Amino acid sequence: VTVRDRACDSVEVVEDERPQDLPPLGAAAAALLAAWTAIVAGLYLAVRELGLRLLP
Amino acid sequence: VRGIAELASLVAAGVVPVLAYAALGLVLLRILRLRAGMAESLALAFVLGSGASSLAILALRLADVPVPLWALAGVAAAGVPLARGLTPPPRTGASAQPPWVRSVDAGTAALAALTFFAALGPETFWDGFEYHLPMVAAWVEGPVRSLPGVLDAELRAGVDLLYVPALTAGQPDAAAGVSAAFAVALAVLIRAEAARRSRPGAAAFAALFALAVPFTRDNAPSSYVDLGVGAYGFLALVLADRWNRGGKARDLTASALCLGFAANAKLHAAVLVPATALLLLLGGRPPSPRRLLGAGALVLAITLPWFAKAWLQTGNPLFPLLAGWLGSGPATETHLALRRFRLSTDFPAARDPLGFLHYLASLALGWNPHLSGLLGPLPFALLPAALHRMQRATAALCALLLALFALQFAFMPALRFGTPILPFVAIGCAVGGSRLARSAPWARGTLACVIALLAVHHVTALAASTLPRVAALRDPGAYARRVFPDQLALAELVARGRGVVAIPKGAVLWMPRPVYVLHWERNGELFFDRVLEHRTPPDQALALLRERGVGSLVLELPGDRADSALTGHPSVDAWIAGGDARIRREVGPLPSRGGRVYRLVDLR
Repeated sequence: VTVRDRACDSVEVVEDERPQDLPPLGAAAAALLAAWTAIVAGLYLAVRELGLRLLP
Repeated sequence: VRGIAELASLVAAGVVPVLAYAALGLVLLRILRLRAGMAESLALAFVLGSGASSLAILALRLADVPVPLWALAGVAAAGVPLARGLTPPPRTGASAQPPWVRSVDAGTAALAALTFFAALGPETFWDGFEYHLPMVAAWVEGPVRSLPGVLDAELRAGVDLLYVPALTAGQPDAAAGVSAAFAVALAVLIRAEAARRSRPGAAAFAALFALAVPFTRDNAPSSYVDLGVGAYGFLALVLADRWNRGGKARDLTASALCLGFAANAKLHAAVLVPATALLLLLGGRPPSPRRLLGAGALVLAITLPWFAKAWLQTGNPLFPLLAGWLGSGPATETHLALRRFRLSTDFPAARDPLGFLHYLASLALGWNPHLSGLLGPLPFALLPAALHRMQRATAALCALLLALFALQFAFMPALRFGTPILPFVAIGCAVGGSRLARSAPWARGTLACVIALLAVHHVTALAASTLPRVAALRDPGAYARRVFPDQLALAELVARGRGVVAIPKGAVLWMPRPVYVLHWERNGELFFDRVLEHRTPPDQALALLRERGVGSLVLELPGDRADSALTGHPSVDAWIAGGDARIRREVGPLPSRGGRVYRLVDLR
């Protein structure tokens, strides 16, 4: 995309900022990752909020 | 208790330097022709401007020229027209932002304000009051110079010098405003970069969590310098990656600038110079040798003042590296070698695959309190989903980040030494989270629940930690007494001492008279206590302390030795037996921590 740069009064190419097209996960991978996310977050909250000690 | 005028002075001493550095950065943005959205431009301006300002302050303070706040206010005012002239590049094809994204951004802005004001609270962070601020205070009272018995004064201190204006204004508590500004700038830069690589909503959450996680919460309000190092290092890598993808010379130039600033802030960040060169060579668009040499020359030019300072003061331009070949200056080679070794002991586990898993778990869950905070669970949950078909530039970047992380685990496992790579973790979370959310409605629902719960947890913890600091702006003494009563007891004994008073370690900034820190890592010349097989013989230790003007020592003793005729410390007891020292029985003992007590000993 070519535009006029008002600050520098010159012509330059501005980076295309369109977000990348991220492919969704397959159903199995999504299920696995969602479960993993919930488990890790649950563990974290249990350690931080409930004082759970998983290791000495 | 501060009145309104004093509060205004404190806030001014925190805000004005940040604005002045950003103003200088706006000039740099214009010269480099770097363009971005308004918030990202201001964040870029602050980071680049702070690096350039630090060099200017170094030059001024080497010549003992003061850096008053009013002068910086003038610089800040000159930046206003430049800020008004910021014109964001037109966004082409950017996806529309859902309305809730603005709410998340507003929450991040509120956290940013809270973090900044919390940083203006009393400096109660250990390295901050033990050497960062005392060192800068000495360089405000006199020129930048060697400080006998202060090893850190010989190291790079690019971010430390940004605290000079606050201390010149008599407001040391305001210094950490710079650190908070680095945290906010990083959140803004993460927001922008994550939006390019994922979706606006994911980017907004990445910025929110970048500010709210315990690591930032614990570092931003302190005068530790790691967030600054992180901002320089992160930008250097981001801009090199941008060169790989776009091939614009200005990105390469800006990356070189940031590399120089990072190495000026902490010498270990110089590892990013070869790392960035590798990224450029392997990222799919290797620059011509001439261009690469030009960027290298720019890094060298920016770092030259600190190399020269180290060379003039220690005889070794790479101090504290290569001490065996180039000299160890005022420190002993053993001290320097042990300090390097000590960095690896922050995580006391084997450096093998099992130890690595343990390390990851400690970063996720906070099992190891010596890591200067933790990241929370999201990186470990979402990063795997970020790994998918990558462009060559992104693959090279990821490989490099993994290599840097492995180096960190092996040699410097404290999390704060990895600040240049941590923002990429937040961006990776945004990418992984975006993919998961796009995969199925129930996956999006699960992620939303997890994010909501964690956000409530983090924000609550952040508020619990920072609101008392904001409340302490009016009465910093009461807060300090609550957090470190033992350091106030130490200060009481120091006030009763003679000459320079040697202390075990502690809040040097709070001490009412000059002190000498006995801890080997701080003084670099004395093993007062045994470290492995090293202990300085009593005669040599006494001679060194006398050379440093020490007239009294405050010792930290077990509680059952409070009234003993001897201290239990072999060197001090030898001095007492030889008539070179005596316990001041009419003073103290005063309570330290963990049932120990402080006792005052005079040298004769």
